[in-house]
Amino acid sequence: MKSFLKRFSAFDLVVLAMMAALGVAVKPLVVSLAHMITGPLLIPGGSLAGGFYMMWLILGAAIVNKRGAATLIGLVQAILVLVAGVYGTHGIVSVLTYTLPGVAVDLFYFLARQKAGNKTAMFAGGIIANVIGVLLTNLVFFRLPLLPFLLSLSAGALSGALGGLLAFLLFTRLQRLKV
Amino acid sequence: MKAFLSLDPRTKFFLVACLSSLAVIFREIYLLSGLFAFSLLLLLLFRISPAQLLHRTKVLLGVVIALAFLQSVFTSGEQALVSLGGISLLSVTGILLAGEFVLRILIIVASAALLGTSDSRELIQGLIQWKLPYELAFMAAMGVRFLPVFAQEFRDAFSAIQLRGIDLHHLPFRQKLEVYAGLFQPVAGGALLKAKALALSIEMRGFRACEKRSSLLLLQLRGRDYLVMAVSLLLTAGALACYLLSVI
Amino acid sequence: MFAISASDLSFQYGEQMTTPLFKSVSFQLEPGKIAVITGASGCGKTTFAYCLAGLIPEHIAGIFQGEVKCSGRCGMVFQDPDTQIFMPRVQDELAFAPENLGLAREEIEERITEVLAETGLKDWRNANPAKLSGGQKQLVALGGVLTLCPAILILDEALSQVDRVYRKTLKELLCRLRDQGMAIVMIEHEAENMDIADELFLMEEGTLRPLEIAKSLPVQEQTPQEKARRSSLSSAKREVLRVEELRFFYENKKLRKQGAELPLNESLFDDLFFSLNSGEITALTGANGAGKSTLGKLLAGILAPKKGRVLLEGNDAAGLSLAQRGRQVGYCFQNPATQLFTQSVEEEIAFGLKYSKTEKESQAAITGKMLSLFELQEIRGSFPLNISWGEKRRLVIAAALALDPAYLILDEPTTGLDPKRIETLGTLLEELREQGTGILLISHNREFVNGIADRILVLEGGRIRDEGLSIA
Ligand SMILES: Nc1ncnc2c1ncn2[C@@H]1O[C@H](COP(=O)(O)OP(=O)(O)OP(=O)(O)O)[C@@H](O)[C@H]1O
Ligand SMILES: Nc1ncnc2c1ncn2[C@@H]1O[C@H](COP(=O)(O)OP(=O)(O)OP(=O)(O)O)[C@@H](O)[C@H]1O
Ligand SMILES: [Mg+2]
Ligand SMILES: [Mg+2]
Repeated sequence: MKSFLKRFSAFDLVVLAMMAALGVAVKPLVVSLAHMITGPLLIPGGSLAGGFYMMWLILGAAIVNKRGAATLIGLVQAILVLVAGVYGTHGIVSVLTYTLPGVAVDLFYFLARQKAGNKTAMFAGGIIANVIGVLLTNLVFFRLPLLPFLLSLSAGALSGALGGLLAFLLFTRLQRLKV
Repeated sequence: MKAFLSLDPRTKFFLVACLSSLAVIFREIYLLSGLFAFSLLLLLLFRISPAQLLHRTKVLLGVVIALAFLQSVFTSGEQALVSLGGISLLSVTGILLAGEFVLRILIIVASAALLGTSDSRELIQGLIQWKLPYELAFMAAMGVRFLPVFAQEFRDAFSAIQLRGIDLHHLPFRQKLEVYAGLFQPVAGGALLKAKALALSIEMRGFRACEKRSSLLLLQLRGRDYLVMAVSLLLTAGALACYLLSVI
Repeated sequence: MFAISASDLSFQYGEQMTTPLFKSVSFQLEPGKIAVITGASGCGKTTFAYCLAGLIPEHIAGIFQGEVKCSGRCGMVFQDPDTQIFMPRVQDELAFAPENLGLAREEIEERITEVLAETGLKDWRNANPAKLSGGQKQLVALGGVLTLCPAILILDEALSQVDRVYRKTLKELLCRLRDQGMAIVMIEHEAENMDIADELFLMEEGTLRPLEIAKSLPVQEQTPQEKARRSSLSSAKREVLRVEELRFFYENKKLRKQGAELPLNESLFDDLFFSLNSGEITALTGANGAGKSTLGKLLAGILAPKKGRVLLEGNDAAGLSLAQRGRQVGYCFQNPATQLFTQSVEEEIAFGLKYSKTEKESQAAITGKMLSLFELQEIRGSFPLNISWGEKRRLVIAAALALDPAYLILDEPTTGLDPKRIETLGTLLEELREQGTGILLISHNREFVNGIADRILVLEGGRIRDEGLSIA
């Protein structure tokens, strides 16, 4: 673990911490944003919310562009919601529900030999992250019957795809930023 | 009762982990109810008002109702309480499953509220002393510091973009995505610029300069911490053993 | 013996910069002295400070030549306290540096106690930095460097966001540190902060030149008569905004008003009445935390009143959406960077028009007009987050005005601007007034306000006081 973390510069670590915080801080906004998308589509807003959380994970991984970045964001988010108290209803279970999507994204980038800043990778990464997220929350909390479960998975995939796309749009913009 | 509030953060983590694992493992409503009653007791011991808990989970009401219907419709072999054209809209199983869900969430939120009685920096220190790598702890602490800042920036950007005369509700879908990217741009860009300045400031102050870093804050487990941990471990192990035996 | 001595420094940011920012610059400072470096914005002062502090060439890439020798550790405080405080509690912020050095707990404790006493932050030891005022935050930032026990202290415009009270505290602290033998390098724009200098330098065209220390600086003030005359020249006035019986409080929040804690849900202000006209510049001032920004947000519709109402052109504004209100009242947040949403300066101005179905030609016409009015043509293609602070400020005002609102609300538009840019902003606002736009100027900057406002409102103890033409 020590040598793994050594590969990240102070700047990398700060960026990842910022992205983790952004993903949690966006929560109050997400509900209204999701409702604005789903308005005409007759999907409950909640099922599309996930993408707005996962996009920061994908974005952070793209900016830092090192193996394990997504995992780190997920881990930090898990610790963050746990110790900051006011955010989220996942309690200590967030250690699973926040970390594993990050692990999955890193694993996917590694296995598919994808760079974290490429459009298709971010699109697919968003889907994977959010599908894993939906899967876990269902396993832990909802325990839906098969059919609604599959439906929520597909809503999750859709929302994750949107999140990935949004992360990509944002990433291309931020590349122009002189940092 | 003050004794509970001043427990070591690590003890609280342990307690919370026990409660949450049981909540996730138990599938019977009576067990979950018992566990919930126990968490309520803990809340009282920690001087947290249960009303606060309800307030925080109020938003879940809709989900619970939807869940009751969903479970009723899709769980077969149950006599329906309400049905429409042969499809059961509400069944006992459905209500029970929705009840399980709400209890599970309540227990987990209640246990998280126990953590809320410690300062977040101290909770992080607990994790550090449990060998969480300092870099991670540092990132989490930084996250705690910037959460309210970012939340405010998101709110400001959201107001500002609308004040530009843009009605977010009535945009075509394709434009929405573009506007959303725009909405996030100042906050994300600002975060990156902050990150650059912060990284310099951190380097200036000797981040990772020495192999071993010291710590001003040092948590110490006391007798009552060991006691609470031992009792919760025993209770959890006992409950789990009985549960597994009864299931088999 | 010098505390810090730099010889033949040259630096250039990468290849994209054709000439070095500065060339063969030498600089020395003895212990127990304060040196102030000033110069136009963008001349390379911050970059020079990075060289002195060793951040260049260590952590910032570029073409570097020369040598810097320090007699001890070097600490640097940056301009914006929000980008150098990263711990959730003051105490942890101060402990960060000594912890990194691996000092013993007792020693860290000792240093922190000392620094807390020096900076007067004793009561804030466990506070969250987010809860502190700008001046206090800057003290924390300085404290975080002082616990490092530096021999050389470098301050990059560290006083610019600090209000008067804390400015005095900070300056006194710096003088004490100097007397204890610390060498201090200050980068400064404001003449007001230079009075503690032992040596003064001007950075210009890539060189560093010593300056005479002028003990008294002449201040030009406009007489009230002159201003009255000028404001009567402006076009006809018409009431745009009107506030009636306005009351507001932040829910479930204990407030800190003028230093004292208020009980839960206590009103920030109650029963406010006033009106704002077009073709007039109204200034709103008051102490930190008096509620000026809050009042601005209520007028713009970002917050909703708890009681009373805001009338816009005679109608209750409560029923209007933010988008509708933005077309009538432009609002610029204190930080211009939080409201730049597009990929170029040009697009930014046209942003609101584009999504409200304005025709292409009139979009282009308005954008062109704004670009020239605000002198932004040269950078029309730049990424808005990359341009300078002053340009960002002009851009957000231009973007708000593109919707042709009758009224404009500016929250602290002068922060982060150098004197020359403040002057440009003043001229610009006067031009807008001539064209009939009403402006509410929320500002701490007395000089600026006295020089430009037609009317000054002071928010104090939850009441509005009309001060007329100027404040002391
Ligand atoms: N990382 C960078 N890469 C390329 N150019 C840079 C970088 N940082 C600064 N510059 C440029 O170098 C010049 C000097 O910048 P610097 O920040 O040192 O100026 P300054 O004198 O401190 O200005 P101010 O008074 O506005 O703070 C500016 O033109 C700036 O655009
Ligand atoms: N979003 C918020 N939630 C709760 N309290 C707030 C919020 N925003 C401001 N406050 C509090 O309301 C009071 C007034 O804040 P406001 O920002 O309006 O003051 P101000 O006069 O603009 O001060 P400054 O000169 O520092 O900008 C302060 O005590 C502040 O802490
Ligand atoms: Mg500078
Ligand atoms: Mg303000």
